Amino acid sequence: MSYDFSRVNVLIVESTKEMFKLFRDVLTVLEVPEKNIEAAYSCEEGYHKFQRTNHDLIITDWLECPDKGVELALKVRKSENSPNRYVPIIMTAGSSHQSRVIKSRDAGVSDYLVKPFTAGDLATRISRAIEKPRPFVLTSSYCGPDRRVRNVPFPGEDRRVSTLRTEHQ
Amino acid sequence: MDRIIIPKNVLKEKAGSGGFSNDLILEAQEKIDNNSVDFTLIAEKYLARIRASLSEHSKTKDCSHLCPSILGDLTQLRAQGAMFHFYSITHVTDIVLDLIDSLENVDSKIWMIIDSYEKCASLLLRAQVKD
Repeated sequence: MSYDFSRVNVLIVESTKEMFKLFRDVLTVLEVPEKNIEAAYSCEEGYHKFQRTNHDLIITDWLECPDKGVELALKVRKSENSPNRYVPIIMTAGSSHQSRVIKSRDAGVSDYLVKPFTAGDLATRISRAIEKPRPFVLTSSYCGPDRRVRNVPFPGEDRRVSTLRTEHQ
Repeated sequence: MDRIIIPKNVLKEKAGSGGFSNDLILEAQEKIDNNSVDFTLIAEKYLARIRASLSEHSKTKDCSHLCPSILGDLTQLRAQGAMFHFYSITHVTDIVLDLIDSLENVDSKIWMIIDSYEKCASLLLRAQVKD
């Protein structure tokens, strides 16, 4: 038995219609119903549609000129009128340069997918969003999944334990 | 107040369990491999914008900064080239982007590199060199 995406709505924010169609075709084969996949071609359109539909997963391109994908992630995570600040966001980009990855991470993106990508790459990220969501850290300067993904020792106080209150939604 | 939230996993509640079978992933990969998008038209749009920026630069001779739209266009060419069968475009764009990322200062050399890149990428497109 595989995942049942019949009730899952996906928003794809892309820079070209061709890339959107490619994502849609791949997701359709992965059994996401076509009617559940919505397209947007700008940060503004994407956020507007997210407010209206409250999708369960957002896949957004970096949207150049400049960094509009990052702006979308920040809006979803920080806006008062965001319908779900905790929705999984997969950022896709044509560059894996460290500065981009860090910028995406600091905007609260859940995962990062470098283009060109394979179907396996996309499936892995969707599975991760379903099976291994990270706790959200809410501070005055950051709202998003816990950015510490590796369990390694570090010097100093563990503020997650000593000062942050944990709440279940 | 700063806090940690364990959000309700709505996606899991709706999608359930089971993952993706290998057959499904292979079939999805076939969709990517066999897509019939004409990348020439997409690439030409980005290259035209790069040409316009190069032309603007040749008038002003301002080497102090690189127009963000050029980086955007290069990144899109890198991303979409291989998705739409033009591995050659992704490969040469990758080299140029790496070069730009490694430079500490923007100077006239970078414009020469972009100019050469534009000629190279246009040639690859015209000659339909994909691999």
